[in-house]
Amino acid sequence: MLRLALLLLFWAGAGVAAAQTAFPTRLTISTTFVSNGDPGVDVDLKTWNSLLTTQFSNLVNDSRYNLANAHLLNIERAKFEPALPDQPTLQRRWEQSFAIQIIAGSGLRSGETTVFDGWVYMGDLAPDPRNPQVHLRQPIRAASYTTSRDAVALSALYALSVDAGQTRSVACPLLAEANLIRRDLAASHTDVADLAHAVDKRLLALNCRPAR
Amino acid sequence: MRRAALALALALGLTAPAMAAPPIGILVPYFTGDGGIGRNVSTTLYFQVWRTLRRTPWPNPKGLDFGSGIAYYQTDPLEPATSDAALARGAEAGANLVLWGDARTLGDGVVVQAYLATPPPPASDAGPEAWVLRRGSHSVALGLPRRIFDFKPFVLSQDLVRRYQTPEAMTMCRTKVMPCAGMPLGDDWTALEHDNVWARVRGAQGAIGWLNLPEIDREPNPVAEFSAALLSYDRGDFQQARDYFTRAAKREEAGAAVRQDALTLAAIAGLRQGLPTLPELQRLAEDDPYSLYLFQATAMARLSAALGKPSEQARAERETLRSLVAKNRDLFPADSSWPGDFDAVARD
Repeated sequence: MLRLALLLLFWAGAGVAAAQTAFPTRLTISTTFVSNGDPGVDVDLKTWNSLLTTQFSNLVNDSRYNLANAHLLNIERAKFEPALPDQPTLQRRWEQSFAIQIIAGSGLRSGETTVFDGWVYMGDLAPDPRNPQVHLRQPIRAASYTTSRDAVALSALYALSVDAGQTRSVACPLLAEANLIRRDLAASHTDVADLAHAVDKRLLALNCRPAR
Repeated sequence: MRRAALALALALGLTAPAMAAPPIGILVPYFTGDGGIGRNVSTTLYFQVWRTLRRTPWPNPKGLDFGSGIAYYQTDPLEPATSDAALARGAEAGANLVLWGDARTLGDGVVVQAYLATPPPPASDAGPEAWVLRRGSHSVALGLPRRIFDFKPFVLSQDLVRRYQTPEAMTMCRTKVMPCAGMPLGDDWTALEHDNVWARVRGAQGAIGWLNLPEIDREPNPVAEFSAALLSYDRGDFQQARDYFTRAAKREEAGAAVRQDALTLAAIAGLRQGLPTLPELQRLAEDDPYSLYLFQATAMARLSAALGKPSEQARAERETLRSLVAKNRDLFPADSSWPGDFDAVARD
């Protein structure tokens, strides 16, 4: 509640100085897991979330994105809930918490491997608002961590670029970085294929290519 | 307890010449991690970077001197492991670069996530980090492509995990002979000098021994190579910077962003040594047409070639560049001084 009050206070302050919007305007990233009751799975999910949280915090704090409000970002530690929230609940949480994205999913055990099966919920910042979530099914293993990290970072960078609207000096570097991350994701990584196309479209729509 | 050990990578000794520029340093706090893994991963990376420091090139026909270079380690991991905490720690230690990260067990293996941060230099003296072009009283400077470098995670081999589980993973030999009955390195040590594949180290109890570097260096990686390159670049050692950036860029596992930064900085380091590397930058810009930094670097390289030349062709080139920068103005933040500075230098 206190955090929400602070955010509202921030928005009130931002409204006064609306002439120059500081980005991002949405300031939280949260994660919800549903446990399968296996303590080993919970440990894997927590470690995965911890690594993602640190990585994302360091990613967005780089000055190249011109995100004046990056220091206000609140990247929450994962919460465990008894059941996955449905889409209306996610949308409500997304709106009320001024979220950039919400990661929500279940931890499963597949053989010896933990698997995350869920979504990155992007609300109105998704490429297609009729489909506000990107499905993500990722094994939680050391060897595949880079892929899941890149998929989550790609969605966050895209969402931040949409949050920045038509401000090219903010949106374009975010999309340019997303474009680089996309190169590292295997072409067969279908979870984020639509998002990758959306990055392309937005780079063109905003005319992010410097004249040479 | 926080300890900062200092190692000057020069057999010349620890003391910087009087009145010399302050040493350029890198700080490597222990990585957070399970058991001894974080500590041993960061120590390995530390030595991999430390051994690359040099005061002068060899041969040295131009009489270059890059001054003192320092590598620090700290036994306190960063908590939280954020860039803000890293930069604060770096400022406290007087380091220009901070290399930090995590080494965690995730499922069936250990994943290492490393970051490198460099604080913005003071506007009054950006040092070698800034590539500066001047005309009369005007100047335009290009710094680094980013201030926080986020390396692709890598997975430790099972062999290294086994060895890194214990603090005894790092041992010193009494003489430069392998194999040896090692003495534990411990947590409080100072690296004194490097001699080919060996590093002479003083341990906590004053014991002096030798670490075999190939032993800990058997898996070269883009984190150490890129960090060594950036440290060299910050020290004005552009020849070595170009070499290490090029090595880091050749590693597929470095990821597209780090490889692009490495290749870009390798080309700029080449230009700053007087090599004709503009075509390298142009190829990179074709490969990633959305990079504003590559646009800036290419424009700077072209301007550098056109400055100070009275020919009509050079004047036309400067006008073309001014026009391009003006067209791209709103890709820069409103408070960026770069477009205006560039225009002032390029203008007749």
